Amino acid sequence: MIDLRPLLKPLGMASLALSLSFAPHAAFAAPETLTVALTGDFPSLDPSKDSSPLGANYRLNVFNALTAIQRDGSIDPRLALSWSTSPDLTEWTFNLRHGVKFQDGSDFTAADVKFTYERILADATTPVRSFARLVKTVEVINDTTVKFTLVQPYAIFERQVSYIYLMSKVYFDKVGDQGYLTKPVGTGPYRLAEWVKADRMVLEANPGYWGGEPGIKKGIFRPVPAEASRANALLSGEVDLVPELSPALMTQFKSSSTVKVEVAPGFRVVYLAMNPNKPPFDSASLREAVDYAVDRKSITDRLLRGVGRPTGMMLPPAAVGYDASFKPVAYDPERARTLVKQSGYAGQVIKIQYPNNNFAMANEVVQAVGGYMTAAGLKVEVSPMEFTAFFPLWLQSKLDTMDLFAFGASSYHAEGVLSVLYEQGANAFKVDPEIDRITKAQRSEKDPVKQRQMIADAFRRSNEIRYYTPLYDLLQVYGVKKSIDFTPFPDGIVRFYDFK
Amino acid sequence: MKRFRTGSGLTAAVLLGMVFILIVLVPLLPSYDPYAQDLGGGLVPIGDSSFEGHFYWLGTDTLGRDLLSRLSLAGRVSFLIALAAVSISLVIGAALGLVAGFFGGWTESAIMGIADLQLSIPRILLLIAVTAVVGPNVILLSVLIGLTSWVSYGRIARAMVLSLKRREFVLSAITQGAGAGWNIRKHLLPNVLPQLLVVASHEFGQVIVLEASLSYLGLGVQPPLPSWGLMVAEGQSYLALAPALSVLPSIGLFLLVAGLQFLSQAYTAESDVMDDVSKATP
Amino acid sequence: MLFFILKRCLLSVLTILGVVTVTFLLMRVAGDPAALLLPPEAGAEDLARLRVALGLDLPLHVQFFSFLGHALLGDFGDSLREHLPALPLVIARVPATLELALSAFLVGITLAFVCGLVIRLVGSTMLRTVIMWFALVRQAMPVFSFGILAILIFSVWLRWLPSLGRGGIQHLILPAFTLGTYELALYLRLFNLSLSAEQRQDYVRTAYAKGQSRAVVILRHMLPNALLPLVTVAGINLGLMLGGAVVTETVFSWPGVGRLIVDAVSQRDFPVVIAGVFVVSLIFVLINLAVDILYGFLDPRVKLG
Repeated sequence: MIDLRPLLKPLGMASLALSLSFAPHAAFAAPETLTVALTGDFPSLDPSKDSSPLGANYRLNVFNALTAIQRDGSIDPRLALSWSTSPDLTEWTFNLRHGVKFQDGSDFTAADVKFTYERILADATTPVRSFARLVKTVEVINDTTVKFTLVQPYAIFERQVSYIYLMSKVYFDKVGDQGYLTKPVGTGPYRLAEWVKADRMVLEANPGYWGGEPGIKKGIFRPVPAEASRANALLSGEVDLVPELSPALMTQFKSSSTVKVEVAPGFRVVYLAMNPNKPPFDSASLREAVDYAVDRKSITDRLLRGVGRPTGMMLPPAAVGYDASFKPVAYDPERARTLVKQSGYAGQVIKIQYPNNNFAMANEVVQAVGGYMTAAGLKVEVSPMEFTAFFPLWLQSKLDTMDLFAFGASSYHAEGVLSVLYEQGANAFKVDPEIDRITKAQRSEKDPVKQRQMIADAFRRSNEIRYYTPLYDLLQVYGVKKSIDFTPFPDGIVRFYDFK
Repeated sequence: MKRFRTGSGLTAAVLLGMVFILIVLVPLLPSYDPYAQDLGGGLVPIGDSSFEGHFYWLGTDTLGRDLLSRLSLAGRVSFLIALAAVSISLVIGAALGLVAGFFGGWTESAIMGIADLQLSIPRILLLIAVTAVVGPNVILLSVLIGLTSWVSYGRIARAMVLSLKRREFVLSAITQGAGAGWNIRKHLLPNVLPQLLVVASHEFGQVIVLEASLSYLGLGVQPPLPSWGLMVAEGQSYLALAPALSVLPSIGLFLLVAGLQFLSQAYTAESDVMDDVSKATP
Repeated sequence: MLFFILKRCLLSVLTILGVVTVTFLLMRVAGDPAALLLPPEAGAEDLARLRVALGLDLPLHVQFFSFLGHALLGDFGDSLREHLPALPLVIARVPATLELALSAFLVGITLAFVCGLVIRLVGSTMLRTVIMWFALVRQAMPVFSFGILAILIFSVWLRWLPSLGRGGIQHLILPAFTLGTYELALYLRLFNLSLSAEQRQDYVRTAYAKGQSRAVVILRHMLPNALLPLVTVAGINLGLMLGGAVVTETVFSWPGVGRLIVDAVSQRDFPVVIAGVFVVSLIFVLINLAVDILYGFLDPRVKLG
């Protein structure tokens, strides 16, 4: 194998010459066509049957929900213009946008909202159902007004509806299940022009979009499972944007004059979870020892090369409820060693389970953590698993003693983290009654300031009991052609309509 | 041993000798430690020292571990995996092939049927499924590779037995009342074994390279245990930053694979055979 | 003869049945797909409800016979992820796999054949040494190493060839070359051995005695005989490539069956895994059957064996 750095120079010179001869008329004009390399292919074209983040790249461009979550976590109206709720937070009324048409020409009305929700609720096999289960009934008040009755009071339901993408009842009655699985229509800014499985998906701008025709006329998604291949495809010019790259590849791009590599905020926090139900982590001082044993700064600055920020909270800055006053625990190996001795640690081997293919450099991070724990006097073994083996265990709280994982709420609200990691019936090793209480209370708290205070209380308590200890905010690394101005959302999903 | 004094034999000795030094002699060095981490001393170049002045012959990896030590341990791991896998395939293949060839009939059909069945199931599927149940495990990996690679040996063993069966010394032994086991041991096995060993030497390298592909897919050796294959796979992301991470284990792979090739060539005296390319007429 | 063919056909059917059964059991043992089909936000009752809806709560033998019954009619169930019938999904990927496997097969034997021939015609030991070392370097490189190197040189640096996906012949070159050269060292060695073995035969001596030139002797007389072992071994590898080209398919994003099966196994998408393994093993078994019957015609000893 040869040292490739000298090879990038001739590539660079050639591209520089080329780009100088085609001086663009505007500094960062939206390109006509944008090709994006994703990590895999889409599971299903029917938005009521798929909730995967990968599929969201498709759904967000071809469909609309009632609302959408913005970059900063705030809510934007989409097919709903405004909404109101009853005092007890169980009845929600949405006023819908007028004159919206689906891509097949049919009109969008409240009947489509009722149809979509009932279809999802009636299907026991769809993952989307988990996002709609708050809904008891959907009622059509008139063509542009729809009322939801929920199974429990919920203060942020306007956030929840952003997960459900609306389908056309008229079109469905015509084509049925198979039709929506092969030739779907939505109200979104792009329509599906072509899908060659495992090869490409071509989206074309919808001229009749209610929000105005988008700047990018053609958006192409290509599934490229191998990471090195995604990076190479960007360098060779076959794709224009790669939303997910490993920090390790950043240097490879530094000397390129055609593509740039940037770091942007993410929406997940990498953390350690310790099982307080059995030894050795039934001892609070041992959990505290681990907290002080790990040098978060070294991991993020040196190992991750700056693609990560040490954090003291189980929420990333992008989420509502984030509190900057939470500082990351300082590295204190002496204190860690003392705490280990005090805790009465009996020398049993601690196995750290983690998914080796779910977030960047997990293998290296876990080995670093293991190294720090060993230095503090603990016996550690790392247990890598494929994500598909790890996830079912995590989901059913069947993990063993300790695990390393990255989690965040795609709703950019603390509710998403509290309900999944802390609440009764969720994925926690052990539910703390205090945090459970606060979680339930904040859900029905109407005053946003009070809600934030409650959320902060919950996370402060979490840091005290240390069933979870946050390590660092996961940042995203993406590569894009230098001529394109792209700022990703924290969830890393590509919205073609977002380019000016 | 005379057959090894050829050009091939010498080349094999040099290549495999270097592997031997790496795998067996390096751990005797006082600085040997494949696991000690130092995040501050990550990616130290070849022949350089870290910030704190610690000298590394071949540099360090991303976690600051000594690459020379890692390479040595990785070589041992790769070697042992291949040894276990090839031994298992050889034994099973020889046994089943000999039995199939000798007895023929339904026994033979059954064994060949099992071979077909096993070849039809993609090996990777088997690995993923088993790994999902038991968890990733180096021993399991070797055993599985061994269990799924016996067919080449089996086919060769059977083919040889079919042709040897008709030779006079076997036929006479059978008429004199010698049992199957005796026949197989005394006549067939010694004739079949050399051929199988040639295949084994080729397969040895193949298994190590296969393990690299499996590690690339996340199914092979798991960190922090290294193998040459895993090091090559992990180093792919760092090609521009620190090519040594990938190149050094690749060199190790090459030394072993090439060395084994020359060894088996020397054994079968192929190089003498090959030299007749230069003869205009026989 | 007829009995022989029937016996082989019966064996093939049993093999495929065996493959499908083993795969079914493996998948059931490997783990529960329900949890993988759900988002992190799912709760315990979502999981339970999904399991019942997928029929996963039924006893194993009930599930198996129900599956078998449907499979015999051509219905392998719907993909758990895509909600589309599994068998058509797999069959749609077969052309891509065949294209890659056949091209790799041709590249492999052509290269071995050309190199071996050139070596023998030119008669230079130096040339033989150089080519052999190149082949050894290739053999010591895992498929992904070679593939990524090829991409770096031909796609990124030279920009001659694309690195992604399937399309015209230019998309096929790098993946076929990567996969096809995998066993090149072995093929070269085999071919050389065969040629050398032929060279020692009497008919070669006779031909030279008759005054025929070196080129004619090699090309017309030795070549056809020497090719047989090479093609046999390469043919076996062709069968293995059908389901086993996963790494090549991953590196080059080639939409083949191998990748489909591996992804499906990871996702525990049983119907797709079983349909995929069925198709791959069917093709493999058919190839084997054809070759065995052919050998049966050519070599009577084998049948009676």
